[in-house]
Amino acid sequence: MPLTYSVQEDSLLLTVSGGLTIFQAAERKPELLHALSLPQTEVVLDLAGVDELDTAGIQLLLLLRRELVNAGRRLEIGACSPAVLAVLDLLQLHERFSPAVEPA
Amino acid sequence: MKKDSARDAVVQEARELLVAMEAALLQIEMEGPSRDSINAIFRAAHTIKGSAGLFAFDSIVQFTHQVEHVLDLVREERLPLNAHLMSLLLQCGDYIGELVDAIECNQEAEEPNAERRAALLAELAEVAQTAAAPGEAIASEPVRTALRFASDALADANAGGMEVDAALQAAADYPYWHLSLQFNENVLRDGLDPLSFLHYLRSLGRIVAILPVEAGLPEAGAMDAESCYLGMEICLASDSTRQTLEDVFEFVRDDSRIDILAPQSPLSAYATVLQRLAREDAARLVGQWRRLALFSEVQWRSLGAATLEEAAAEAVPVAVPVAGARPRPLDERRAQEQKFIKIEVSKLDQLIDLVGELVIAGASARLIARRRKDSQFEEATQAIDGLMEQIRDAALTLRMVQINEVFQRFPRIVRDIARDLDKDIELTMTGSDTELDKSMVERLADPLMHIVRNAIDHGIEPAAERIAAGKPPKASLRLNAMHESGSVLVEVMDDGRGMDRVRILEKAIAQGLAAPDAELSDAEVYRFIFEPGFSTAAQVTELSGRGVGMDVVKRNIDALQGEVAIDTEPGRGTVVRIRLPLTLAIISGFQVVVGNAVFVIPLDMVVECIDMPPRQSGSHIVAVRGEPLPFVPLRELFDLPAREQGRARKSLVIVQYGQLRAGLLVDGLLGECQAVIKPLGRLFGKVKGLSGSTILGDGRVALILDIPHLVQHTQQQEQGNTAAYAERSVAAAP
Repeated sequence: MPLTYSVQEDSLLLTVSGGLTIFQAAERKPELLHALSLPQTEVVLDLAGVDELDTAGIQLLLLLRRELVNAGRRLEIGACSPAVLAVLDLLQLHERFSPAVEPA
Repeated sequence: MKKDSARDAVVQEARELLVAMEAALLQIEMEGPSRDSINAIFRAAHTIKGSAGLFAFDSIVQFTHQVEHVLDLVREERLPLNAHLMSLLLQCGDYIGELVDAIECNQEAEEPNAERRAALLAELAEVAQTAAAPGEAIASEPVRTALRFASDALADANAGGMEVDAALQAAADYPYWHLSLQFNENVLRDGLDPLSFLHYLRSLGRIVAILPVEAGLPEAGAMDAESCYLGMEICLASDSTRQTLEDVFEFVRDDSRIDILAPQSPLSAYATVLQRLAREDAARLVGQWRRLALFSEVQWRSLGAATLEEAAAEAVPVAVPVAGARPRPLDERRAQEQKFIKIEVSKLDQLIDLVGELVIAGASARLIARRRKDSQFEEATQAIDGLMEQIRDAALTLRMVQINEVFQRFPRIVRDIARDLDKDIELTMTGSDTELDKSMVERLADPLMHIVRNAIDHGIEPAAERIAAGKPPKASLRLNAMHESGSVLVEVMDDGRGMDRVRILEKAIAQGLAAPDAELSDAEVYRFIFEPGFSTAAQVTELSGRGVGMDVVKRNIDALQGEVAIDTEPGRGTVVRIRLPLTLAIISGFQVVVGNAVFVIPLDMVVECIDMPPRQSGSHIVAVRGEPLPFVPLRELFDLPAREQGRARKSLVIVQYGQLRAGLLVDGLLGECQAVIKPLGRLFGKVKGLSGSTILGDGRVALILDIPHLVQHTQQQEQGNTAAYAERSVAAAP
């Protein structure tokens, strides 16, 4: 399963695995956005199993984050693979996906 | 994977550019240098370098860079574009081609020919050394850039309705390059990932700070996961020139907004960057700039961004201070319609396969309609038939490409061979917009090349000999293509010495290909040229004369269901004619029946159908309107069982291929059909007279007749018969 949901106490854990690129983006989008319809305030992404991430993937994560934040919820990345880490480094996006207060 | 499709794209693009570069070089050679063609060459080299750079094909980048450097000197008129340099550039183009080939085979890590590369690079360096000293124009370049930039900023300021503030015109402290990017929506679909540009930028300098701009992301529902909405604000420490940085984005420049601000640009330019951003993103950017202390306090105030910054700190919504939102350039350019799209060949093939199946399914529906005698149903199937035919034709034309794809290589080939052999040749090409199936065009290239080489090497005489023969010293070689009765005719014509019939015949007899006493027609004699190992060249040159070539030509053309013929006149020249079918996929056919078997004849080749006229038994010639016509009794040819007595009447289908006609004797005519050609299995590969099979509407298999072969068969038989007839008459005489 490329994407699974699990609920832990008050937070929702999304585990994504495989590629998160232009090739899977269309398929992953509704799956990721499904989180919007669930009640948990905290959403945590486990990207440790993601072996490839490109701009299309990053866009999806940014979209999910924006929608959650607009609804007064939070999104953070709990775990990431080296591939994800490299992209977050490159785009200097750690701050936006960490629990620390980020000006918005 | 993505890298592979991108790799293909790079390879294909590079090839196209190399062709353009070569064409421009040859044009310069013909018509003298012009600014346009020099620019075209420069652009081609430059673009190849850029796209190779994107994927870190360093070998090409470094090599092309040197070529580009020399071209740059030419462009600035510091180097003359003489014959030596022309040849050098053509060779460099060839070598880039080799590097591209290596990339295609995933072998870019190995240098295809290190020695050649070194030699070419040394020559390039030598040429570059001779360049004139940089003129005044070069020295003033940075100044001009700065001026243009300042005036741009001024225009921006005016457009925004702001009063021109002297403070905003002053240079800011900002010591880095600032890149403000908003990509074209299709960039991801085109196989480019903006992240790769960042990787590339990192090789040019240090990314001090970067801010992905997400305001372009539409509502969750409206967001297309495969479109690119992200923008980026990048602060880059680099010694590169503006040109180098612009080149990074060469391939996304269309429809993308790429703004590059030099270090210490006027403050107004940075203000523009901020104005363009949505509040949230602008606040983030201000935060970033603050942290990096890119502006002095005075400058911050002038920027009018102080409020913004506070907004960032307090997360309180504040309107962007400067009004006059500028329209996004993205929308403006959308209007330009795209004229071409690139499609994978496999998708096209799939479409044509499906259309083929549709044709078969349609035929079976029509059959049922006819059996039920339901007039409404029949009418409906007729309408569908009409549409299906149009779809079929449209689908097939998708595969059609102009023969120019092959022709365009010839100016260069002819030039090189003519140079090697020291002959002066003028090449003219006509009908290069003639279309034929893509797969045929590709497979036509090699045979044509052989023929042209042969024509130049054997056909065309050296200038001295030409003058002696009273011909102009400049020889003419012509390539022509045209449509003719459902096939494509490609001709290679030269005005050389022609072929020596006597010598060919001698050689053929010597090689045991012909009996010494055989009476052969001209066409038959010239056909020996295509025999394996046949060469009349007295001297073996580097190019031809080894007797390898023309037989390969014949084999290749045969494989395309085509035909090649030679027409020559000693002293006047030679014409080689290649005749090819238009396509290999679907044909309009004419169904005939022999015994219980159904055969299909390509409709384009059918001239008429008549009742079988009375004939002399045993003879394979009938008189049609007073003219003799050879015919083939299909039943005998394929050894089919004789039909039970019943209908004695037989029909003759007259077919034409090229200039030859023949009749086919059949039991009955079934009418027109659409035939999707399926190849015969290997088992039937050697069966002569059949070119393929098709499936009829009722599910039965019908064989497609190989008309060119059958027509030739009658010609051979005709001669045999004439001889036999003569013998018989002699025998009957006493």
